[in-house]
Amino acid sequence: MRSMLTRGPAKVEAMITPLIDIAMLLVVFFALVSQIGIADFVKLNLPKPSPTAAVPARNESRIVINAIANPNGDVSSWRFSGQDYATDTPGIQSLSNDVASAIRANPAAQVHLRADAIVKYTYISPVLDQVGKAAATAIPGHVVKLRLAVQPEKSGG
Amino acid sequence: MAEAASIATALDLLIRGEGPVTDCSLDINDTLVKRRAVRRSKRGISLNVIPMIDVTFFLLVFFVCANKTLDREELLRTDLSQRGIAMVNPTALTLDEPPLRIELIRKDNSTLIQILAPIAQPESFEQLSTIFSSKLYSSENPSGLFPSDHPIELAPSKEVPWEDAVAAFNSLVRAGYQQIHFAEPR
Repeated sequence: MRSMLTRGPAKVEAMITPLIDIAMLLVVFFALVSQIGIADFVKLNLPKPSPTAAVPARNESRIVINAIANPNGDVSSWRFSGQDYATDTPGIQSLSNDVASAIRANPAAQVHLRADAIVKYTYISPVLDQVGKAAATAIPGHVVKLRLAVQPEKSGG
Repeated sequence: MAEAASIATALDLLIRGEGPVTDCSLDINDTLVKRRAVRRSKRGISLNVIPMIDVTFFLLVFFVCANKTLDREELLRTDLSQRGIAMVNPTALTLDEPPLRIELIRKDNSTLIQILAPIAQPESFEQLSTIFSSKLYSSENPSGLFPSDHPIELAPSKEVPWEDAVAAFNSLVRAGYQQIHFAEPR
């Protein structure tokens, strides 16, 4: 009892440990999320059709194929699931095989094609062809839900 | 003098913890102890709210930003079948119709639109939409030539930029057609 009387006023102190715990968790979370974002969405100057008939993207399962373009409209590589593929026939064949595996794993997934506005159609056509074949290979008779990514008018860039 | 001596003795005993404690002082001490105990117990169950609010706002800002990034993108819908396979589902009473072909040709840094059918030729993507909209067969437009599920083949040439190919596709979707697919370039 005597010790209680002589203790004096309670000390004010910050609880650092839970703050550090939460900060670390957030760091890990944001690191993972940003990696996923980078893998799926490459920064591109998408086409801007005006007035557009496009609809906003929903939270549906998707397979995203990105065309990494040079300033002169040539595609330097294709990117799918964080991996780069060459634009030559073996590269596109390899891309097709991996897309077929992804479709087999998730037949309801949409295929999002993201290509820069300046990309020449000669690069797009073989990929469209191979994606169609990949779907037919993965699941016979399957029709791919292809979605072309565009930039809405209201957004500045 | 005697009083002073008795006080000194009492203090000495008190310091050593052996002093006689009156009933009154015991009551006061008990009240103080009880108050402190109550205060301490209250402090024990209280939540540290400020860091929670900080973290919640941090997460809120992140999700708002992430949603805005996703909202910036929109999608044009097309179903991709293997090329060379008819897009329409034939029934016993319908005839296979050849797809209507629209070619996009690159000339002098501009894209020309050519409809391979004896109808008016558009000079812009806006005109393409208007022409095809007027040719769409419906109950409101019985003189229209093509139903909304008529297959249309869009064939950009090799040098046509993706922006123009998408603009043509967008014009046809806006006109109300549903069976549009991209063909190989010539």
